[in-house]
Amino acid sequence: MLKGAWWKITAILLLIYSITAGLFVRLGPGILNISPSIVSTDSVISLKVSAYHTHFNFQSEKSKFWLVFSPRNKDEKQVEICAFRTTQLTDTSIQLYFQTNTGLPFDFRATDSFIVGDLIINTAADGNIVLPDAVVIQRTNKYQTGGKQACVYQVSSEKAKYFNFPFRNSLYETVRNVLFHVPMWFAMMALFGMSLWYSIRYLLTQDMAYDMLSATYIRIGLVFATCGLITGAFWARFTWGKYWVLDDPKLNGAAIMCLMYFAYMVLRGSISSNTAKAKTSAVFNIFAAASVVPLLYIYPNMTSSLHPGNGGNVAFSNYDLNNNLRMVFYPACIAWILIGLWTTNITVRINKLDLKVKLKIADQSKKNK
Amino acid sequence: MPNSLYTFITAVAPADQPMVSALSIDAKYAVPVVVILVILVIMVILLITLDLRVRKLEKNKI
Repeated sequence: MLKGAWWKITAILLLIYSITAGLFVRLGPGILNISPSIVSTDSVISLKVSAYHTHFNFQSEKSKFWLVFSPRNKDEKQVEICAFRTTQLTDTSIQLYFQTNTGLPFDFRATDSFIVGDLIINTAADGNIVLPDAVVIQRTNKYQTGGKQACVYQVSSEKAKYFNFPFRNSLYETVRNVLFHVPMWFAMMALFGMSLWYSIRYLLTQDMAYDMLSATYIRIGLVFATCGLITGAFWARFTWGKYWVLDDPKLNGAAIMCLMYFAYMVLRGSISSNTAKAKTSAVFNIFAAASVVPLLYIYPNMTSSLHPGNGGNVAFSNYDLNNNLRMVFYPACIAWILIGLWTTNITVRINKLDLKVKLKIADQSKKNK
Repeated sequence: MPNSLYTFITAVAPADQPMVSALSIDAKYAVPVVVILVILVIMVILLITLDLRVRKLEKNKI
C-alpha cells in the first residue's frame, strides 16, 4: 500500500514540520518603540523602551544599553553613549537615562541641527537587539562638547539563547507569513513549469494524455496562485496598510499572470473540438509561460516595488531570511510543491477514471442498439 | 508559562537567566492559529482520503 507513496509521506511530514515551526516558533527579541523619539541636548535624555519577547533582568551585570551614532563622513569615528541609569519597568519595558547636558563625546558640525542615533541593547538572555534610527537628538544653544564616554562599547556577537525567528520592525509576527505566502508561489511556478513541459510534449507527440496533464497542472497551479494572492493580501494589509497596492509592479504582474492562466481555462472551455482545444491551449500555454518571467521578475526589477528583491531592495539575504527561517522555509517550499504534485496526481487519476466510465457507458449503449 | 499558550520544547538556559521556550504562541493569536491548523488538517485528510478512494476504484477496474 505504501509502495510508491514515499513522496506523499515526505510531503505530509515536511508540511507538519513547516506548519508547526511556522506557527509556533517564538519570535526573537526586538524593540517595538521608544518614547520620546525626539530629544534635545538640554537635559538628561530619558527614554522609555518598549520591547518584544525580551527578558530584561538587571540582576545580570551583563546588560548594556547604548545610543550609537554612525560616522557622518570617513574622517569621523562611530560614537557611543551608554545609559548611566536604568530602571526596569517590566520584562519588556525599561527606562533608560543618557547624559547629554554635561557634554557629548562628539561635536555637532556647524550645519547640523540634529543627529540620529541607533539604540543597541545587549543582554545575557536576549543577545543584541538593535533599533536603527531610534532617536533624534536636536541641537540647542546649551549643548556642550568634550564629554567622556561613561562606558566601553563592546557588543558581543551573542544571540538569543533559544531558537527563534528574526524580529523585523514593521513585520513583527507576520514575518512567519514568508513560510506560507512564498511557498505558494514556488508551488505555482513548479506546477506551471510542469504544465509547460506537457504542453510541449503534446505538440511533439499529439498524445491527448499530455494535454489532460497540462490542463490539470494549470488548474491546480491556479489554486496555489489564489492562495498566494490571499496570503499576500493579508500581509500587505498589515505592512503596507492596504490589501492591494495599485502601483506595485509585482502585484500587478502577478494579477496579469493569473488572469492569463484563467483566460487559458476559458479558452479551453470555449472550443468544442478536442484536438483544436488541445493544440490551441498548448500554444497559448507556451506564450503564457514565456510572459511569466518578464511579469514577475524583469519588470518589477526595473522599477521600484514594495516587494523585497525589487527596485534595488534585497531578497533572500540576511535582511529577509536568516538561517533559522531558512531551516523552515526550504522544507515548506518542498512540502507545498509536493502537495501540488499530489493534488494534480489525484485529479488526473480521477479524470482518467471518469473517461473510462464514459467510454464504458458509450460502449454499452452501442451494444444495446 | 508566561506569555505563551503552549510550550512544546523548553530550551535549557543558564541558571541565572529566565527559561525561554523555543516553541510558544501568544494567547491573542490562538484563534487564527487554530483556524489555519484546522484548514490544513482538513486538507491533508481530504488528500489522503481521496488518494485511497481513487486507488480503490483503480484496483476495481471499472
